[in-house]
Amino acid sequence: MRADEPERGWEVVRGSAGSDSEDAVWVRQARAGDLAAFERIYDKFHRRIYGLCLRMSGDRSAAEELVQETFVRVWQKLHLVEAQRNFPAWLYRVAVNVVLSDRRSARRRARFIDSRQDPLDAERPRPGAGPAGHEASLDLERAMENLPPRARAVFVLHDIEGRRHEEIAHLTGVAVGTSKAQLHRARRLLREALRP
Amino acid sequence: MTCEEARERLDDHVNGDLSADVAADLARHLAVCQGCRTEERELRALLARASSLARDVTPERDLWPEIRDRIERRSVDAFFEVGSWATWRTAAAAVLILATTAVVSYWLGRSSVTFPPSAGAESPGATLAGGVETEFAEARLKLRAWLADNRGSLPPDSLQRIEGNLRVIDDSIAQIRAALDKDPTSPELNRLLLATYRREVQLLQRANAWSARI
Repeated sequence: MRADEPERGWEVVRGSAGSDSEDAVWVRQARAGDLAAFERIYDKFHRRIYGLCLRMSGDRSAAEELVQETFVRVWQKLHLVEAQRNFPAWLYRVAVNVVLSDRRSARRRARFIDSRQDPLDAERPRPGAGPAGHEASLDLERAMENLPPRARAVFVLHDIEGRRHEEIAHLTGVAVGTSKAQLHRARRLLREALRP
Repeated sequence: MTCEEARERLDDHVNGDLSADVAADLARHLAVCQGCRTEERELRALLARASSLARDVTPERDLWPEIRDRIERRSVDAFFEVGSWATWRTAAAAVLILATTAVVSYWLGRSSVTFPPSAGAESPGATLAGGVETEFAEARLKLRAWLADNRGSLPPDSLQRIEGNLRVIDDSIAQIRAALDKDPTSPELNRLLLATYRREVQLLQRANAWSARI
């Protein structure tokens, strides 16, 4: 997927405050180099993007960096988006791309550091943080943090963000069946973690 | 339908993705299997909790200043990568246009650099950035002195590139100052001036570090 592909999933962020025409005006101004207009875009959408990055990364510090990278990248690519079209959906897709590419970079770095490492390790819960060791009182957010990264990403996109498997497969570069399997795994692990 | 088959289908069931026939089979199984009913109840409770989570989450700190700095830094770097006089004139014209728009109020409201009144100043552009500019001026003087003392230790082609970049920066500073003389209260011009100083100091610091390594 590329950030300049036609936008989809506009409905996901349509619920944010403000009007579409307001976004379009700000996007046009920002495209002309108006950083104040871009700050208004940031003010309106950053909480939404932060929520996405936080839950997909499972790490507050990483989420902050991912939000910053998303908006810097959006500023650089503003010329690719038509102001009248679904800017929020385009922004959302850029954010998902940033999070996923960051995860891929992190995996590549880990493999480079230790070539003997089992690539599947990244898919396993962190030691001592797995569902089996969790207290029943763990809330959903905490339980999500301890999901394996791919399962967490699919759970966030499907069950929180409301994406369908076909789109998740497109966004993450996996087969629809793989997306379903990861969702099944995430739901099972979360139910186990949240049981009294 | 066995329990294993039923539990494999629960995800599609709660998503509403099962065909009518399979859904009917599953319903019959759930009617007689308490264990699978518990699984279904837990799954629906999980989805209800997930859907009730707020999508908007407020970061614990303000992320915008770093975003703004990165954008500005890239803009300045991109400008100096080209470094041609014609490009500079175009950029300066754009800055002057920006300085007369609502951007002024934006910068006045957001900038961490204060812009005291210029009344009585001999050269308004020289005073607007206040102590920050003084600090940069001192750093660049020291680094320029170091460069003058160490010209012989740098490879000729590298020295040529460094001095070429410094000439471009000097030209830029002169142009920004000229623009500031006409519009001394422009926060955008002040910010560009400071960014240019910062770029110069960074260039000299890199040359200094590189020289130490060789």
